[in-house]
Amino acid sequence: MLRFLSYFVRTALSNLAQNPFVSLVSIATLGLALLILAAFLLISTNVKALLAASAGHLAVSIYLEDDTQPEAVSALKARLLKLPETQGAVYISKAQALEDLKRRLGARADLLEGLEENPLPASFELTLKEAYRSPEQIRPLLTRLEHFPQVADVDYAWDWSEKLASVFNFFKLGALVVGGLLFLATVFIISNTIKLTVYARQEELAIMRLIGASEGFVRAPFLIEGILQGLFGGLLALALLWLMFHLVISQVEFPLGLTMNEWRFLSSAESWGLVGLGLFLGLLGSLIALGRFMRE
Amino acid sequence: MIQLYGVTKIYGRKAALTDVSARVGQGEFVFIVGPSGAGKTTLLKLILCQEPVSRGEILVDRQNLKRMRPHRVPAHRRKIGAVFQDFKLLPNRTVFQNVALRLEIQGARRSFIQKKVRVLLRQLGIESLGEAFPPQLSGGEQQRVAIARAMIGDPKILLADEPTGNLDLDMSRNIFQLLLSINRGGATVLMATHNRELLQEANLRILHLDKGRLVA
Repeated sequence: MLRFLSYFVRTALSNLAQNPFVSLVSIATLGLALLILAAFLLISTNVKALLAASAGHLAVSIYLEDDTQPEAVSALKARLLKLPETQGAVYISKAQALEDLKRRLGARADLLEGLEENPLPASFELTLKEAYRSPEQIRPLLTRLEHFPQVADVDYAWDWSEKLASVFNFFKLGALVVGGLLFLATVFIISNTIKLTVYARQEELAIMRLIGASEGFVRAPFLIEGILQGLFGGLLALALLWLMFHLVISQVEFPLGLTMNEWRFLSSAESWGLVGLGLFLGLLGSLIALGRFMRE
Repeated sequence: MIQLYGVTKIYGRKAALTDVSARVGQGEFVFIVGPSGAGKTTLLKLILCQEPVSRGEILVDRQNLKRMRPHRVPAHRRKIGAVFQDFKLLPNRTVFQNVALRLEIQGARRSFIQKKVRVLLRQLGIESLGEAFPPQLSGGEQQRVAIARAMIGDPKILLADEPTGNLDLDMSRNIFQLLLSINRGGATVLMATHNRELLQEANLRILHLDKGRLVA
């Protein structure tokens, strides 16, 4: 088979070169479809990473009753540290809480001066292990914590993390729907490109069979033509994505003080996967074309 | 090498060949003659497995074509070099590529192909046409390219359908000498023709077809 490969590749390349416009259109379409999918993938992996990172910063706040004794605080801390979900638990006394608030208010700290007593509760800031940061896992934890002794209230910054999670889910859904539709269109376009080539060369193929070419020999260049279109489309998508990533995303300012260096490009496995997917779609398109057109 | 037993070929309702039986031995050179529509081309098509036999049996190199499985057909055709009446050259490939294709099909090495095609084109006096495309060539030149492609794979059998049609007598003799030399190299040659001059000069075995029947 290897002996034939050079002939097949040469023939496939010359087929591509004989209809440069048609070939370019189908490569560009495939490139675009893969680009959209890859862009969704890129954004969603980054949003996912962002979510995970933010969940690391976000802590569960456990507010204590005002009359809690120091022994009860230590007992609670020991109990919190034993929870499988716990990464760390930091105690913030009433005085510390007031200090923190003063610092945050800065110039307007004088607002607090009229206070007769400290209204802020003591609390624990409980950070969670990475595996336990999903809303599904946090919710029951919060319920459990509420029933701990001396616990007045439990709070978690749902708002922010759930918004991010819904954005992430939206991207996942969008990638699936748009990507799926584009794939269908791409396979259709590639198979049509190859059908046109096969159709235009019916006579030539008949002659090849007459002088002893096997079906495999006749078909292989068309399969390779499809694979090459897919490969070029995949590489095009990767190149465009890389350009977009470095020219566009780096110019955007992100909220929450996030910087570009927290955003990462596709991993090399993902990049090769993208190119491989293009290759596979090209092969699929040409298989469909040949299946219909080459039955004698 | 080729055995025909009661071979009949029917297209629709019309019989192109009726009950033809003959044997062609290995290394023989046989003319197939007869007026247009006598069934000469049909007979060659059957031997090449281009068409199935309607009735009767054809054995080529001890293989019964009727029982040949489709995936065996390419290997059968590679034993045969065929020169078609309309040449059947690939118009968008050069002369060199047309001749080389036969060797590419059998998976020959590229260096071997380069060398062998060049030598053969030189033998046939068309070396200078290597980079030309068939539509740019005269009938006689295309004829030689077609013969070169038929010869390049060293076939056991050479089928030539009117290889001297449309050529003047000098050119016809030239082509005929070429086929004779292939025959001397060991190939069995079947040549369909109605070139009387050649037949008289050559004094070789003749299968005479008329209205699809073998008459002599």
